[in-house]
Amino acid sequence: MEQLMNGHRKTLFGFLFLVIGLLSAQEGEVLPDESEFKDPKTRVWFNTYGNLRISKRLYWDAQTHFRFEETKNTPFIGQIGQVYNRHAIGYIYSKNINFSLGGVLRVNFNTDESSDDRNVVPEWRIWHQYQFAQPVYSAMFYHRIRIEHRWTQGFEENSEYIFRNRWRYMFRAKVPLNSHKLETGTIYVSPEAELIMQSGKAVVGSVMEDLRLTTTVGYILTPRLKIAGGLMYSQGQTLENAGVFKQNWTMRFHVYFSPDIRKVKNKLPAIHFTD
Amino acid sequence: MTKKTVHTSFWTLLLLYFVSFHGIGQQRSSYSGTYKVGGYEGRAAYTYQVIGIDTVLDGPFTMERSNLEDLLQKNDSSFLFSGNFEDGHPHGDWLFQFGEFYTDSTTQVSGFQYQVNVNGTLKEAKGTLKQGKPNGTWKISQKKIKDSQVLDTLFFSEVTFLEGIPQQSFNIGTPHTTLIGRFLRSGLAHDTWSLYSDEADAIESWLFREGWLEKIEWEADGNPLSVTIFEQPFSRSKIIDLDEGFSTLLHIYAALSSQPQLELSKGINKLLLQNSTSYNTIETILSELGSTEFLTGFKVRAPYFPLDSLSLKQMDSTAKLVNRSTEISTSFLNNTRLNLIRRSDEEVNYMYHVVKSLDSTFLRPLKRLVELKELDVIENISEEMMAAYVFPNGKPSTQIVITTNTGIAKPFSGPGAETLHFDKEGIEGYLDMATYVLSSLDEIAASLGEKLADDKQQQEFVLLENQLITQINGLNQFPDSVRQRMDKPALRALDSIKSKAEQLLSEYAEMETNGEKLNQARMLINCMVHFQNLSQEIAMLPKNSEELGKKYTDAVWNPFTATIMDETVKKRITSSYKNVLLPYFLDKVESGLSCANGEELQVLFKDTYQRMLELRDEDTSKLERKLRKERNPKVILQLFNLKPLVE
Repeated sequence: MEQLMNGHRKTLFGFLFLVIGLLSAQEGEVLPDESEFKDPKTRVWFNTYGNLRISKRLYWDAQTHFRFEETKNTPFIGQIGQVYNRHAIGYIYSKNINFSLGGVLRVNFNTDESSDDRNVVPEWRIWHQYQFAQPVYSAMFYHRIRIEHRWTQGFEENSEYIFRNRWRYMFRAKVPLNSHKLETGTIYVSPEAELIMQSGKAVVGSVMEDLRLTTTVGYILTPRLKIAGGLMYSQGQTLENAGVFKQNWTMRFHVYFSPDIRKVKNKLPAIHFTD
Repeated sequence: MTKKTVHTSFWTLLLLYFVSFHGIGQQRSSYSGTYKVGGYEGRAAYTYQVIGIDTVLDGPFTMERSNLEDLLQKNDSSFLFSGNFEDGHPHGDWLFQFGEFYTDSTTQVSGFQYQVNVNGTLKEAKGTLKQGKPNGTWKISQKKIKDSQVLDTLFFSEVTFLEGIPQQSFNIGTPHTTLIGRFLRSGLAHDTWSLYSDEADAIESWLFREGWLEKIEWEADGNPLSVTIFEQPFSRSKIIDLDEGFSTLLHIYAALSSQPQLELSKGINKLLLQNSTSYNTIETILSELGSTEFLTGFKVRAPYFPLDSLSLKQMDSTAKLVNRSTEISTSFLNNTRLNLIRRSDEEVNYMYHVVKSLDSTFLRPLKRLVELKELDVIENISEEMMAAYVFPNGKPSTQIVITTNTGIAKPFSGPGAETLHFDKEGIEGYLDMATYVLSSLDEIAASLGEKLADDKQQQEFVLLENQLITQINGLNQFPDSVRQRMDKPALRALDSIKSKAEQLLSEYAEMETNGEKLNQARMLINCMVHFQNLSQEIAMLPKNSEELGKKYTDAVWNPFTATIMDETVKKRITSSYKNVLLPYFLDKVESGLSCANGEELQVLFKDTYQRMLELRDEDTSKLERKLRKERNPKVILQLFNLKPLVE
């Protein structure tokens, strides 16, 4: 708990640093005179998102992502970097508001070909999320607040877990292109922006972990199956040195599926949450 | 029980009986609502007593009708009857009004009332009744109304009665003439009854002496003329009513006299008849409501030739036979089919002319005789006069020569013609004639009936074939009327129903005309009905598919978009229906339609659609699994629990 409280304080602290432009450095590292931007890396993500209705208000949120990143020997699509399993139980508060709480097991692969360290290390998270949807004309706007408590470790042998909190806010729109609303057969464009902040003892100055700007184009095959693809630009402070920014160009491919595994008699009516 | 108590209780019962009877006797009820009297229907309000099973009117009575809507649209026949009854007899002051109004729709607002201008006529009768008989002065008038004002009095009559007997003098008139006459105390016409016109003195006079009409005097072209109606002295006379019957007697007697002919259709006779008709109208109404005797009571004397009871019976029978014969002959002469057939069938044509001849030779004259009986003056003319009046050209014989319109002359003798003699004395001769005519007509009816029956089959063909043609026309036009909203396979099916129907009809047309063909026509009509129904069922497909589309759509909440989306559910079922069953049915219509399976196909279309509606709400997971790879329509029908087509 104390750790958590500490984390909070650090976050606030981190924000202040950002706002007034005073950058402190990770221990042992010296802040450069000017921010340094690393060359962008390219990555490819294949993500599946499942939402399995298990009762009138509950669903099982099951996501599996395969993230590839470029290496020296395999440019562009690269090697598998992370396999990411995110699960949660979601609660449908109303048509426009839902919450979820669950855990993540991320498997990180060492993509540094020259490294002698471990090839695979796990990463654990507890996460909770609050999502608000808002119809605007034919489009939908979404606000997502996601909070993650994460335990990570490096690839080095016997490296310690470090604990960090992640504070994420995402704004996303879905604009139907060939229809007056999001329905079967609709192609839509979805611009999104997500700011991921972090805090924790290990985070010294590098509070902006990632800023992700994405545009995807999606297609609704059926109300229970969608596919989407897009491009994401992201940048964020490296944990090692707050003055150094990493950059990424990521191609993202998504499959969204939402089967209803309830018995027929329980399904009807499917949508009247507040009855 | 002692003797005394028996005695006491007897008196008590008697007292109770009278008290209760008195109570019942006094009990009057009232009615207010719709009521119908002698062809008049309107709203009535009256009080009555129930005595035994009879309703006896007692107390005030009003009945009226007027309809503003009728008046504004065309014209309105209004009426008002108002008066009083006493113990079932009309008694006291009475008013009768009959209006025939139309309006020019000119309206005025006066106070808080709309006033509508009316034009037309108003007939009115006003006076007092005593125990059902006119008493005191009765005024009858007919007025012409223009712009809601009395424009002219078209007819008036004023007679004073004493318990139903006209007293002293009366006057009856029109705008330009007035008839004045007087009675003896007994109501017998007496003295000179004169008709005065505006400009001249009496233009016509009837001279009575104690009821005897001795002479009629009138002027024609300035010359005074006169006629004695009852010329010879008659041994017996009888007092009769001065009504239509007497008027008929005048016709008969005047026609037989060699003296100048008076025109009885105008003048005094006409006025008297008009007056008595007015009284009859009221009599008809009052006699339905209670017991009354509302007559003019004008009495005259007429010669009397009494008939014995046998003759009177014969007269009754004659009247019945004549009426029956008239019914038969009228039904033949007015029969349009008979009229058509006779144009092509000489025998029918002959019989038609026999009927026509019997009608003119016997029935019309005999009807004059029956009319005398109905007017109750049959005993006021002699046998010779009767014969001369009924058959001015002499009595016909049993054998009549029929000349048809095609020029064929053939004598006709009815049953028993040889033994009958119409020149018998008295009424018997007429009875024989009436019997002969009826038996002749019956005989003709029998043979014409056969002819008409043959023709009936022909008629039936015409009817059935007309119906077939109408049906086939409907079928032919049907695909075009729905073409726009149908897809090709359905249209092909509709077109093939049409051509199948055409084919069946041409096969029918080639058949030989007989009873078999008649059956075939009936069968085809039935078949066409099924074809029509089937066509309609197919025309429903686009609408049905739209309905099913809606029915098989579910609203689904999509967690990724947080929106509600329409989802087509149970796709295997809808797909089996759309892609297997419907093409199979339509193909059956196109390739294998017949009268035998038309109805079955129609029912199958209908039942399958119905089943589709049901399946949406049933648990069909098993069925859907079984349907997965099933492409055989018969198996699918079975899986749907529907009866497959009989092949």
